[in-house]
Amino acid sequence: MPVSSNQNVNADITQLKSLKALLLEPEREELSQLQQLQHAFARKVALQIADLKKGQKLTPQQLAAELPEAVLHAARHDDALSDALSPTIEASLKVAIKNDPQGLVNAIFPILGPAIRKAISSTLQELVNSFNQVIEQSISAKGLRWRFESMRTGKPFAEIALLHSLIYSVEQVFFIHKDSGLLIKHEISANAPTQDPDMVSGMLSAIQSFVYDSFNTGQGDSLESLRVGDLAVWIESGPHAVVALVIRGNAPANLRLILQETVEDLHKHFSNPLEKFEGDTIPFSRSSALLRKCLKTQFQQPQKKRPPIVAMIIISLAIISLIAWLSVQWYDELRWTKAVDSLAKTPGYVILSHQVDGRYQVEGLRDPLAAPPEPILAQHLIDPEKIDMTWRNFQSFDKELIIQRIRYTLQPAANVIMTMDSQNRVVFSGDAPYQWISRLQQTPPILFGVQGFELSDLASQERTELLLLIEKIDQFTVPFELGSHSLSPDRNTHIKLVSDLINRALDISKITGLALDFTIIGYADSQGGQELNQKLSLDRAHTLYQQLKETSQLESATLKGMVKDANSESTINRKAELHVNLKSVPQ
Amino acid sequence: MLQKKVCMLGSFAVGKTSLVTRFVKSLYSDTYHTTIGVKIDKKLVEVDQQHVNCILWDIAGEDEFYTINNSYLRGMSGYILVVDNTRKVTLDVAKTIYDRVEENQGKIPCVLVINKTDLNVDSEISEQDLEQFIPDIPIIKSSAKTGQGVEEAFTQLVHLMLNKGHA
Repeated sequence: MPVSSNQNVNADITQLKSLKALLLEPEREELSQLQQLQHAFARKVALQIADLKKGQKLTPQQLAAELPEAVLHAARHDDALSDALSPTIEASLKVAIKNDPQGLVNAIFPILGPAIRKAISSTLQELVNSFNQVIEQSISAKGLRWRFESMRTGKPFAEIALLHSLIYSVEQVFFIHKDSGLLIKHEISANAPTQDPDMVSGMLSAIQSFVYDSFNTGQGDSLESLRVGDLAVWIESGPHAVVALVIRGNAPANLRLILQETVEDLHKHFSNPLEKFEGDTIPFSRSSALLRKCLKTQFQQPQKKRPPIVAMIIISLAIISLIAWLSVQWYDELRWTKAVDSLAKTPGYVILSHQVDGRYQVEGLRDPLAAPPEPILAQHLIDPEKIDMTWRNFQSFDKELIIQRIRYTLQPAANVIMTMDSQNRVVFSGDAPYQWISRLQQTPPILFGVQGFELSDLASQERTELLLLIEKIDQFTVPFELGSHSLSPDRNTHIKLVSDLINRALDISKITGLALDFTIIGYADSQGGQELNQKLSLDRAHTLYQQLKETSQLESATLKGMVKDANSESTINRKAELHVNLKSVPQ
Repeated sequence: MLQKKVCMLGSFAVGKTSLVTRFVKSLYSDTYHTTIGVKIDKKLVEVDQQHVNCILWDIAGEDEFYTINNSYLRGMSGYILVVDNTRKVTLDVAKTIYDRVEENQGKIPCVLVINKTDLNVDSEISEQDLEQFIPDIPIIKSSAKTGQGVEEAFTQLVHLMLNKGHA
């Protein structure tokens, strides 16, 4: 500013004042008003205090009028009112909750419900995520290594997994008064182990002092870090306070920056209390927010999704093996079921239970005449060594087995055919010995499931034979010479043959009771006289009869003579014929 | 709650650690283990209707070979000077320490504790010696072994610290 005369200076001052008035007048007026208000308020309070001192109490109305403003004023000024009211409010809250807990619940319910749900959802999500992570880690080689470490150290697997996934974690923050080493504030992350923080902070301070004294470090130098195993302690000092972080893992360099900023912020916000610190930590209650900024944790980022080949192969193999085993089991079960079904359909079997339990087991009823089960089961490729069968005897009503039973009982001839009709009667057909048939007729066996026997289609073998014999015997003819009733000797063989047949027929006749009727007819032609020819024909019949009587068991026969016309072939008319037929047919 | 740093000062083997152990844990052992460096303990006491968390710095005893590090004493709110009743030389050491503290740290509340008074027959410290000591300091006769005077010494010190206006 250039030197000027007094007049100029005065003029400048006046101008300056005018300028000030122009620029600051509104604020000045406002300030003035505020000051007046403040003075008025102070006067009022002073008067009221004076009144109180005189023994005049404030009326409730007066107090009610002044109280809100007084509280607001006190809150703006400092925390003294809050500190004074805190114990009373706490006590009142406790009493209120004790008297009416439901009221409190109702009041906070709108907040509590969503908060609880959110907490549960978050916890479940974390649980699922950590479960996924654990499953992934369990199958991998890394996971197996960690499991071994868990067994070796005795720590839970989750803790080992967490530690290995952790890059770093700030577990504790100590806010320490530099000179005294007294702990001002201590913050700790969840689940972090801790010793007595007061003693830890004291020892940290003592260690710092020890280092400072022992190594003659410079005034501004201080211990910055300690390291023990997994843990590191980072220390950052300010003029009046020290902040120490207990870190697990390897923290990045930028954490030191955060620590420094925290120390600076603490000194900035709490400079006065720090300078005057005599052990009272209450002024530092709001430092928690600053300190908690240091409680950082960083985990390893999950690696890019590389398919876990080994795990997939193992799982695939396991699944394939399981499917294969299940398939074998199912096929086995199917085969066994089919085998048992086949057995159940076989006459003479009733299946009560069956199962496959390492071995093939079947229990049921079996008719002793039923077909053996082994071949039936073998058709379904069931290993006979693995079959356990438990059978109880019973008598089956299957027709097949009834027939079999009858066959076993009656021992019929091979030509006898037995069937059962719809009325459960056994129908016999074919042929059987007469005596067998006769016995059956006289004393039919009693068999369960059989309502009777039908023998009408059953022929006796003897009758059949007899009919054949009759057929052979009938029309047996012997020729005679002209005018002769003697048999030539060359007919003996034929007569012998027919005699055997006659004997057999007579034997059968005796057995069966079939009567045979023999007729011998002698023939003569009509040349010569009728009487002569008639006699000749009879003689011829007689001759044959006699011959047969001698050579067989023939005892009687009807003899007839017949004269044929002369025009008939002569040889045909010079003969004797044997005829035989049955008198009755047995049923 | 207030926190106060209290240092235990004195010559070697006067019973500083025993006094702390008696005060904090109510235990005593005849076995002597010299303290190396500093050992920190704490105890919460109630004095003059205030709860005070005393952080006790049990510092290694001073002798001709070792002098207490001043850095350990920084920021202390009070200290207990411990003297062995059976060794007069420890009273001289206590005086030396007192002067040094006053020089470096200023006037800080202090209590003089005459320890091992259970060994009265071997006492080398007379009442006259005590009278000649710094007059302003409370003198308390104690025995860490029996517990006599221990609580009183710490309580007295806390009272002095509180009434110094350091609230």
